[in-house]
Amino acid sequence: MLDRGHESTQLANWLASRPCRVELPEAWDDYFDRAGPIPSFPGDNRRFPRYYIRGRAAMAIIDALPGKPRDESWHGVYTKEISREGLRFLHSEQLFPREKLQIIMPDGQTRIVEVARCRRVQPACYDVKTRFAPEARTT
Amino acid sequence: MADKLQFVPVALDSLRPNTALEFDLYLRSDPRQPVVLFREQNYPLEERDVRSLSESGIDSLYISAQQAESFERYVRETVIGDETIPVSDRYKILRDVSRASFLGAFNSDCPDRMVEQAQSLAGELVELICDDDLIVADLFRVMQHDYCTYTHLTNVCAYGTALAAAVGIADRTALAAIAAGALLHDIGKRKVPQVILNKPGTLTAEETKIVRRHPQDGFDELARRGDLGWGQLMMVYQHHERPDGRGYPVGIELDEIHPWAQICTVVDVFDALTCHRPYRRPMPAREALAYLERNAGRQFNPELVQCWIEAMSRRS
Repeated sequence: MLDRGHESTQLANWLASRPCRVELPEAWDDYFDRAGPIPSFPGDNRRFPRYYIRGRAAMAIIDALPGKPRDESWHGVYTKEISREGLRFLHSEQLFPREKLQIIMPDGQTRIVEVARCRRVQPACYDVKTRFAPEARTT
Repeated sequence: MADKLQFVPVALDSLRPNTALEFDLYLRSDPRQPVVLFREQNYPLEERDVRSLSESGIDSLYISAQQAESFERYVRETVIGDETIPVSDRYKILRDVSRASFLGAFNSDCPDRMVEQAQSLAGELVELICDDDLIVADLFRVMQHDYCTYTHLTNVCAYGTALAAAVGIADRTALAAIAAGALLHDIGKRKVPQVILNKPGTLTAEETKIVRRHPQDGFDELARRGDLGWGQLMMVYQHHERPDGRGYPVGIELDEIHPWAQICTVVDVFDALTCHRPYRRPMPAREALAYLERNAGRQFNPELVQCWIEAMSRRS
């Protein structure tokens, strides 16, 4: 029990020490308060329900695109939503579709994802939608 | 016999008198009649034949589809390098002869063919467009203004290369890369149903959403290839981004938009405005230039717009 608590503190410290330069819009002051299922809306044709997952995670680009070399260092990101198909998070820089990432979630789980879409919210705040890589989806 | 074959029209001005032809030429003097053999291969077309056809109002002959490759080879070897023909006219001939193979590649499921065709056509177009004699206004004169994917892609390619050269990019390798990127910039539109692309009325919100996916769809398809540079990929991905951040797919601002994508944006809109669309008549060049100028800074890089206006107003 003590070990588990110790591990979780270590993880939290490690996540907190990853540089995170995301600047949240002022209007999102309740960003970290959201939790639970995300209500669907008329015309929403998503196959799986989505859930708020607000916290700090770490992200590294593990398979860059041939034309855009990247370093493999860890960055702090803010997780946003999760579903059976993918994860959405905020990052301070633009990511490109088909870049493959490793994410260490706030609870310590590791996910391998591929960028599906990226949208700029404001300077130093990009909303990144990813899909779980096939091998990660089955585990 | 002749009408069992498939025939492809070829412009009379793409044939040089007194040169050996490795393909048969057919003539259709009446649109209601089948084509008839006019000149067998290796039997040269003479000066007086061309004159007499022109005088009869005939501006194209036919070749069999099976001999299209020989025709393309002939035009590339004989006509494109002929410096007695104005550059803009040689551009038009090259564009016309490449049409079938380029469209075949564009409509195939295989992006490899498309990239290969784009790179080969781009190299040839750049050789022509970089010729010192080229006047952009002359290029505009020979552009086809009926809207179809091929016309738009080759127009954007030619304009984009001319604009890149006008802003001072002199390296032929870079210009050929820009030309190929321009030919590929709308590759994602292969996923947009024709019925939406050719819709005469306003698009619904759902249809707009589908059309707006094309930069990302194109990028998705090409991003993992090692034979395209980052600038070319950004022409595909960012040609609908705007300096004011109101573009798509990302909504980035001017400093994050690749310079080659900024070039592509200016000429893409210029060509879209000056060609005939199902829902709009073509705009005269001066009105299209005025539109670019009005929206410089918001939708387009203002320096590129000024450069394009100056290039278009230059006369021989």
